Amino acid sequence: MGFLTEGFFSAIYLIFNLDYMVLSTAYTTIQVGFISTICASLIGLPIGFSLATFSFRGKKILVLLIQTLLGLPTVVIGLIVYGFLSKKGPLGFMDLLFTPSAIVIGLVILATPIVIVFSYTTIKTVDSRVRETAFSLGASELKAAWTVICEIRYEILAVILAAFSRVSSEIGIALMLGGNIKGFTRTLTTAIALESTKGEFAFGIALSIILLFIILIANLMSFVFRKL
Amino acid sequence: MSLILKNIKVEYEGFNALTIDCLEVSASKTIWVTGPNGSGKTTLLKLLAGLITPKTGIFTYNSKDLVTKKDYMEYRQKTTLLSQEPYLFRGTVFKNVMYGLNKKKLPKKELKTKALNAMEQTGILNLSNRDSKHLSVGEKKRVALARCIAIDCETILLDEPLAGLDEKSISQITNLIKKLSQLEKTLIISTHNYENTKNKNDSCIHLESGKIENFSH
Repeated sequence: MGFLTEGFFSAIYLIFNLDYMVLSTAYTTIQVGFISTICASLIGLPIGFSLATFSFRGKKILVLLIQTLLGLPTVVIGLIVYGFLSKKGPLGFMDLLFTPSAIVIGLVILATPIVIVFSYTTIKTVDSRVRETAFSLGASELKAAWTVICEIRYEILAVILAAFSRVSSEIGIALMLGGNIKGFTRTLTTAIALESTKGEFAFGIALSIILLFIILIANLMSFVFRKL
Repeated sequence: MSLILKNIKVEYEGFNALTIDCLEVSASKTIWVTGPNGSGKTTLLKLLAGLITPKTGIFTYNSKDLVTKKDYMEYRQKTTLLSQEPYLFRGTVFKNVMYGLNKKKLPKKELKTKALNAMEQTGILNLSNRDSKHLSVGEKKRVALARCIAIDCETILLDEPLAGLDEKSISQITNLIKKLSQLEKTLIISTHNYENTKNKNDSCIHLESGKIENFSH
């Protein structure tokens, strides 16, 4: 238990002393998490909305496929994106491998099904009168869609925050596509894995506490928005 | 304004909810839609509001058949529906009344005046800043009615406007319906009880089991 207590105090010391390594990894984690969550939301929300609102052939199969993607192992995503971004891959010319952008691409693939499935189930529960009322007051398809989103904005925000929590705690993608480069692509999860293998448990626990704190803030916000 | 419905069939998940061989609605008339529960009154009003599309048949508005989504969207600019259980959007009563007005390309001051006029007519000026989620059934209905009046459509459809209201609200809404029927608008109202509100010039559609049993002009 000693190293846990030591880790806790070490975390407080590192945070309050504005340790460069800690701040850098925390910053990278939040940066890639934030950008990938925004991108996944921009892709996932319209798809989730369309699935919940419109009827079309093959919809049930599509929903099933997307739900299956929720269970996609992160290392598999990492492997596939690695194949595309490596020198011999079709996108190798972009020179993105082992950069924060590569991590973002992988995280977007991870977070998009989360946003689609959760927004789909959330929007499906919306009172059908919302769209009907909007249309009866002359709204266009786009305005009616926007009205639905506005009516459940807190629930949608909670979906986005859940996606952020997931991408912040991810390791397989960050490790395979980022390469764990110090001060550049090192995230909190990859740093924790590295410090543990080096036997630096206290430092690893300090980073874990910071990571948990970031996820706690996101979940706390999600909880508050759901209550509003 | 003229509306013609020919050989219309509306279905809900295979269930035939409404069948109309021929129905013609002309401008500036008040039409009462009556019939027992489940006779298709709400379906007819939703159809006339352009909110549902028929499975078969021809829906003609001002000599133009409504076929595409765009046709229906354009048609919906001319008509509005007050549902039996109206839904109010999040926000204040004033924001709700402004909802349909925001798309109109008019000065903000003019839009605000239109909203306030509609609120005054329905007796909800005092509720302007109230949260829409904290209103009584009667207040909600009056807010929704103000929202419909504010956008100043050619056709106003009212689905059971007096249902669930207390005596005071019934009297207010009845007076308002009388006022609206004097304007150059087509008013289509579904109800169980219209004897106190109906004028002798009004038309009446009686529905039974999803079919027009009688249309008295």
